[in-house]
Amino acid sequence: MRPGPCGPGHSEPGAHECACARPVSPRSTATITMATALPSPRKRRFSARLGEQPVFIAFLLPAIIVLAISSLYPLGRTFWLSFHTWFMNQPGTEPQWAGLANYRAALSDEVFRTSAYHTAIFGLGTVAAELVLGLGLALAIMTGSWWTRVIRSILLIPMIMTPVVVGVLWRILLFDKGLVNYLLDLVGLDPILWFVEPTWAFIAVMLVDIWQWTPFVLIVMTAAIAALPSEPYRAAQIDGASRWQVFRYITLPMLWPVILVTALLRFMDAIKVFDTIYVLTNGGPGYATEMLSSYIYKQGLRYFNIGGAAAASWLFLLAVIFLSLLVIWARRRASRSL
Amino acid sequence: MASVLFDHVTKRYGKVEAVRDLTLEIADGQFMTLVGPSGCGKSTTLNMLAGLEEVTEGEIYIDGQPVSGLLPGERDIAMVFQSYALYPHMSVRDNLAFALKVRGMPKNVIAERVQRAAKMLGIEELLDRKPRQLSGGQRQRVALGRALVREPRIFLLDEPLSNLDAKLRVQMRAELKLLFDRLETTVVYVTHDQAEAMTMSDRVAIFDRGVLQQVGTPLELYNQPVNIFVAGFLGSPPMNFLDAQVSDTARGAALVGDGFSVPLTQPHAHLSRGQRVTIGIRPEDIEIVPGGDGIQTTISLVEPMGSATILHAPVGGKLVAIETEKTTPLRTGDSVTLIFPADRIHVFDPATGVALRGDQQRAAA
Amino acid sequence: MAVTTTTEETRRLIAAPETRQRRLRWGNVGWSVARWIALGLGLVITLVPTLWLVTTSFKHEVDYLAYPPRLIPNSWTLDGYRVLFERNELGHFFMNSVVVTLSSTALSVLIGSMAAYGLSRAKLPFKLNGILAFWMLLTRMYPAIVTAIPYFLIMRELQWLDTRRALVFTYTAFNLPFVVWLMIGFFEELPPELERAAMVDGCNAWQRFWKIVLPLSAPALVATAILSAVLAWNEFLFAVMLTRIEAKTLPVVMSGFITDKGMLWDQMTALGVITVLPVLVFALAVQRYLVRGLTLGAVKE
Repeated sequence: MRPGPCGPGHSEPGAHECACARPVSPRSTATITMATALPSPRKRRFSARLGEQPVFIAFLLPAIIVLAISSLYPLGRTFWLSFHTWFMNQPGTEPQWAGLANYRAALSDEVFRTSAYHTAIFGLGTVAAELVLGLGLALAIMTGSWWTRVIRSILLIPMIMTPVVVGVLWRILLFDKGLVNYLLDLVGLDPILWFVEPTWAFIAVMLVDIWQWTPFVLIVMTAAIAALPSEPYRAAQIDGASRWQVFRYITLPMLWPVILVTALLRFMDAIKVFDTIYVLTNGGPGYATEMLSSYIYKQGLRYFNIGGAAAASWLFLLAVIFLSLLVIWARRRASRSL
Repeated sequence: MASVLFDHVTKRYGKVEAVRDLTLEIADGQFMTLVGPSGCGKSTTLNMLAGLEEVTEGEIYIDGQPVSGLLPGERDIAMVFQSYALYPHMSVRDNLAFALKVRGMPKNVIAERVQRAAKMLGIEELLDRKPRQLSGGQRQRVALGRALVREPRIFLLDEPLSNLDAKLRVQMRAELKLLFDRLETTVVYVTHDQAEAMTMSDRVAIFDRGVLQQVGTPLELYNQPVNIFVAGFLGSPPMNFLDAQVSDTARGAALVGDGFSVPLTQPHAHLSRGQRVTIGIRPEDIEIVPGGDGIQTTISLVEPMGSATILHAPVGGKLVAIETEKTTPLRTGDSVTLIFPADRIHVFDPATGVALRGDQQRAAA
Repeated sequence: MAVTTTTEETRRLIAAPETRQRRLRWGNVGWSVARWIALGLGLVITLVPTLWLVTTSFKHEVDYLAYPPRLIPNSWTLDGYRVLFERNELGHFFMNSVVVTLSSTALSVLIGSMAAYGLSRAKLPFKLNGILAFWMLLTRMYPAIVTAIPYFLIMRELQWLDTRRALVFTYTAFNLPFVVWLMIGFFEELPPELERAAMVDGCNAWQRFWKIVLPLSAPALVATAILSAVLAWNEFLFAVMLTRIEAKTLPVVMSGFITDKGMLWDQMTALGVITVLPVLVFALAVQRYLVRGLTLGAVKE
């Protein structure tokens, strides 16, 4: 914690106390939430007697079986397929060993590289915007009176809406003679051909994602802020810190771990984007809004290039594993530094 | 109704020894208190007896039967937890009945036992409430009731009073003592509060850092502590400790320290000349005399406790606490003369902390 | 250790800490204005598109293609809904969505909470606890598309393509890691003494799970169930991949309009309303739990 102008003695947050707040009943979920967001104290866990081990393993089994079928086996088979050439639409053909050819082909495929680039830009851009907007709205909403709760309920709507419907809705709104272009016209701007101009198409899919997922950041931040300890704020009040100083030196540092995790989780979700794009642009115009998900989908289930799709899948997966490890590492670091 | 024997029991968590080589016998119907500071191993000992923790080495016997293979539910014990551990989603009645239901007892027996326990504890009106609708004292009673309905061989109580406020704690202390006197069941009671240990128990076992220090009746422990830890743990305010040396004086052998001298008498007569010792004396054993022979000092602090008054005065370099009657006219700055009665002195080895008593050494030999 | 959190007062302090008297006036005015603008914009940007979806479904073609566009049509009509129902077996698809959502939610919550309990209580050798937990995390993290093709092949070999059970299994598997992750956190926070008490009372692991742990976890279970249900209802990628005609869910039907029906906006939005309305009403009704599930999911490691 950075010592703010509010005096080191006072700015020491009660965060540590908060971290070990142990709920007496499961009702105090807000405390639970934050207890895990902040550095966790040594866990006073209920530990099983050794005699009961087999029972607990039996508890685990159904899930392990389901996940083995739905995740482990398909991942393994993707891996195997990625080293084979196989066009599923040619009846009677079998996968042929191809070595690294599929990987080489994917990496040298202009469309694959563009898709990967688009996915990264899309992820970074939307998450940055969602974080800023979500945090801002969370601060604005933060008084707990009944009307802010009503506003929050309304702001939740986009997140719950079926993504395919969101895509259709924005297709209508961004239509050449649709509402958005009309509003641009009202303020004297030229209408935009959203689905014709590559750059605007990309911006459009990002805007839709931001529209849909800012509420998620808002919800998480609202909960995180509500669970902050009040002592540092009282201390800052006594020290006469300004509103900006309070935010900069108290709220932001205490929220930092949650912000980091939210950002990474959102990023992971954003790069999976499929349905809204499928409906909005289907990757077009040209490849302007092609993402890795839609690329793999098309390779596999439209062109039936199973080996190529599998190789692209594994390249994508490796990037995600790398990012997952980063999440865990950052999470540990964040909780240590607080 | 059961006896318990801990036979060379050790509990390790990885490399940390929570309990080391514990041998302890608890007789049938006895109220045994395990007491000590936090982390001393008393709760681990209780949990091992309950079957919630496994014994690393050694064996525990209940009524002569080894129990290490048995699950808690198979040991015929009942336990009251510090946090009460009431099931929040069940009414008081269901909380009381739960263990009996799990054991498949007939409904009418359950109802009858619940009714009886509730009556005994005066919680009949609370039976249909949920735990969160109860006060701390009421929850405590329900937790007790849950143990009572079981009619177990042994009651295990893990700091059952420590979540109550001071006044209620004293009241419940008396009630618990009456209750268990009536039930005549074996009770193992864990606490860090020496007052509870002193007032409620038939016998007390004092633990420190995983090692059993001394077992005995409360007064035995209070009057004949075997080491500095036990001597300092029991009693409030605690025993005063001062360094001294066995020397010859004009009046014969004496324990001489900085600013005081106490004649060497039984049971310490065996101490050799020149030996360095730590002497202990309880605040209520120090006498204040009008003048003459004794330790001359000045009162530096007066603490009226209500029922008594505690004076603090320097002896040598150390501040000594003296308990005196509440009506004492003495004030800060008054000069006083203190006497350490020779027969009230405890003598310890300063290196090991062990009590140096002729009779005990003889007994040991 | 009840630290002062989540109190009304705290929120007020954070939102509007009373600053020193001199700064107070301008700072507060500026802040209030900024706040109102932010909330107002947020509301408009959320509500206008949502209402647009609803009103378009009641518009005649002249109205939904009119320029300048109108939120409120000149005349209302139910034609969009009428034609939609006449030309499609909408009841059947709606039931597909309902059945698939409810079954997969029930299954994933059941299997997931059992696994979470096992994982949080067992001490497995070879650091298996950590490995399994990481596997779950990874399964939640990686894009489903990377398993899509072999998954499609498996379902084809099982001859499960275009069946509800394929989707039920898929969504159960999808939501499992997420349920496990949330419930592990919750189970670990349960006071350990409750289970100790239950052990002394004679409960075995199975009884403890059903009689103590699950009832106590009801709020978390509801939260995870709601989130699972919303995800299953809205899922599109696997639904479009694994179904053709019989087992189509509403999102798949919806996507069909894009490709072959041109600009039948009244029908499209009507279907949109039918798709969104149940989940929206449901989610807002149980909002408290939804929010809880989301925040648990987000701030869990």
